[in-house]
Amino acid sequence: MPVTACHPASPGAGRAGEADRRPVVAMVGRPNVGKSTFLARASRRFVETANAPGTTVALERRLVTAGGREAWLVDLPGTRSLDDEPAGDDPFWTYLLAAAPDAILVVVDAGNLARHLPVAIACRDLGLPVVLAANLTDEAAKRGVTVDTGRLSQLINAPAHATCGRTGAGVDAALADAVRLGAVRRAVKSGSTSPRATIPAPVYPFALEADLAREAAALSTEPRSLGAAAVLEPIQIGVLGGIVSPRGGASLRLASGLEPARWSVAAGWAEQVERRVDVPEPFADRLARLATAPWPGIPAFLGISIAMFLAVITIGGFLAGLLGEVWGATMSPFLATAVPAIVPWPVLANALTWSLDGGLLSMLAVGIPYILTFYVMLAALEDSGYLTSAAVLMDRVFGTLGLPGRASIPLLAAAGCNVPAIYGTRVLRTRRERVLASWLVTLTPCSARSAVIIAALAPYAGVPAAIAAFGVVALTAIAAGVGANAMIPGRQPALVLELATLRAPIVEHVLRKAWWRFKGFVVTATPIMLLGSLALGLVYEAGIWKDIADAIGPATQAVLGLPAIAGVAMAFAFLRKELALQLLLVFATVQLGRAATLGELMVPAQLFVYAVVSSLTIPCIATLAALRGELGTRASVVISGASLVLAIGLGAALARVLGIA
Amino acid sequence: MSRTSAAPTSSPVFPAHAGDARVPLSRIAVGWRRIVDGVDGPDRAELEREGVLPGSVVVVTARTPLGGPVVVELGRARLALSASVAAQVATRPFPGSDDPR
Repeated sequence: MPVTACHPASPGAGRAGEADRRPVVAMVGRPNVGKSTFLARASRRFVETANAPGTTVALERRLVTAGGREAWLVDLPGTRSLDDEPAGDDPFWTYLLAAAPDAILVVVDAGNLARHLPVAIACRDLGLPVVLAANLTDEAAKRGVTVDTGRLSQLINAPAHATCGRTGAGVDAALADAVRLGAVRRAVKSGSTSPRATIPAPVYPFALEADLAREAAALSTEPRSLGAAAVLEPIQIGVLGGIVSPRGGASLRLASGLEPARWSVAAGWAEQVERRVDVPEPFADRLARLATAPWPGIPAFLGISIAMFLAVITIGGFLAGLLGEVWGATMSPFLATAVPAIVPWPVLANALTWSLDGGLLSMLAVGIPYILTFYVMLAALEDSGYLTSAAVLMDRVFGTLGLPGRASIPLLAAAGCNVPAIYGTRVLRTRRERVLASWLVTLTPCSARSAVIIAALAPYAGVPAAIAAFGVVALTAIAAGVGANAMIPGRQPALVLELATLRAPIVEHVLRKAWWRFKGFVVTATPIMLLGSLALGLVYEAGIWKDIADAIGPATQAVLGLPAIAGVAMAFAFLRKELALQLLLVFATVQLGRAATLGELMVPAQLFVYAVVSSLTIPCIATLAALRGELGTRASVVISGASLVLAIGLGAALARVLGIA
Repeated sequence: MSRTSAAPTSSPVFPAHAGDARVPLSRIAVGWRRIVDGVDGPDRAELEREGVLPGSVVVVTARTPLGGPVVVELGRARLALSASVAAQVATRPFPGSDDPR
């Protein structure tokens, strides 16, 4: 977990030992309050942001300068309370203790203080300096709300600033305040200045305050022996290590009892500090309401999904063709002459040429056109806040697959490429959901597999056959999803989701986020694509593929009713799915001694089985690498094995129904 | 009809009427404004984090078909709750709100 990025024992990891006098400022706030945009403003650098709850999953740390001081700014995942579990496992306060902040910058929504102040009050209880940033003032103003930050500051007994992450207004001032207070606390802790008494603002009813005091006394008792020290719980370590005050530790222990009181106090304060004028309801809010209503929400969702899919296919296809031509005219001839000139062994040289030419081209011709295009559109949808509406509309449908509605997002991504979709399952909360979603992702035909289905069937078996193949694959995937949901223990947590407000996506955010994710994909996939292509090249150049064909040919024939080389091509498509067809033609050329078309190799029924089976079998090597990275070796092996069994089983059944085996 | 935000989200300022029916939120029709009377069930903590506490005022704004989530307004926020979660929220009528708004 991200928590391991820095250990409570070494607060502010990344700094040079104890000599570092730079204070650590943690940013805390509810999901979707604009913390990441705020951080980007504060540090003048971009962080991945999304107008959908829960997109900051790892600890972000930035060196910032504010008010003439340097400080570490730590972005924590959005949280709804300090004992919330933003990443689905550890409570939020473990992240906070791990960051060991000297001050907390609490970012709240200026337009909805009653909802956001409970977290601020909880932070105030920790005994750390707190600075309040009443953010999203632009959105609040649109809804006729302004905040009296002076009064708010008095009530919470901490500096309060009106901020707008988008324009940067107030950001520097708020940050400078937090850094200043953090620096003071750090100096006090290191003994270079004397502490000033900090008086917690008692906001709770007497009985709760008494409980807090009792718990605080228990927490501040030093362990009597080494054995006792070994069983200290994290909160006590935090208290004894001076990360939070004894009362702060007590407030973490008693969190659930304090929460209703915090909401009640927050509602009262919000009443006092909000200035409201009546304004007509913003268009975006009316639109947001319509987006979640069954009518016109569901048709709109379907329209948006289809439009997005068609746009990716169209723009991607155009760019892929263009890049392919440019590559073929420039890089291919260059590699074909350069590689043999450097590498003296013909087999290795040819394999390397294959690897570099094919591998890099596929990164270029699949990666940029399809994946980057998809990322841009996904980022635009995310940034607009529409995705939470989609999550609500799709909740019931995905519920039958054991998934929350937000899984519709990675699954939509899967139709472009499975690799980003697997990483996209991080938006899901539990491991069970991630496993189920990844399983469905691997069964969803990506653009390469869709291309195989279309190219194999449309010209030789007709467009209806291609549509039927997609239908068979979709039904199989749904059945497999329902089956997996029934088999994997546990159940889907019920939906409790705050809906994001809608807004026009910010071009800069969208492009940067898309680029940031795309870079991640390139880094993960490129080495695997190159190595995979090299392995494929070696097997081909060394002639081993013929032995493989002889070995698996009879089985392919008997079970699926397909020619031997079809089996080899499918096995090799493990490296790159788009090769399922090209490779088949290459093998056919070698075997027949002349160029052949797919129509000559297989009858329409065989092509149908081939398209369906090659679409459903084991995901490609890049997807497998993503699966392994996200879910571990065991889960990735199980998912691949299951997809292989499913594909062969279905293929065998189809072959019998169609009368080819 | 006044705006939802006019009512504070907590504290028992609204007297319970004698004979008021406690109806789960999952069974409230679109357009009705209700006061949360109590939350009881496995998702209580989750609802608490979203501000669904006794005394909160909620307005049902949409229901998705086939027993899908219910969308409610809570102050200026909008929440989507599965039917099973909404069933854990007992509500009583909002005073003077005998008709859908």
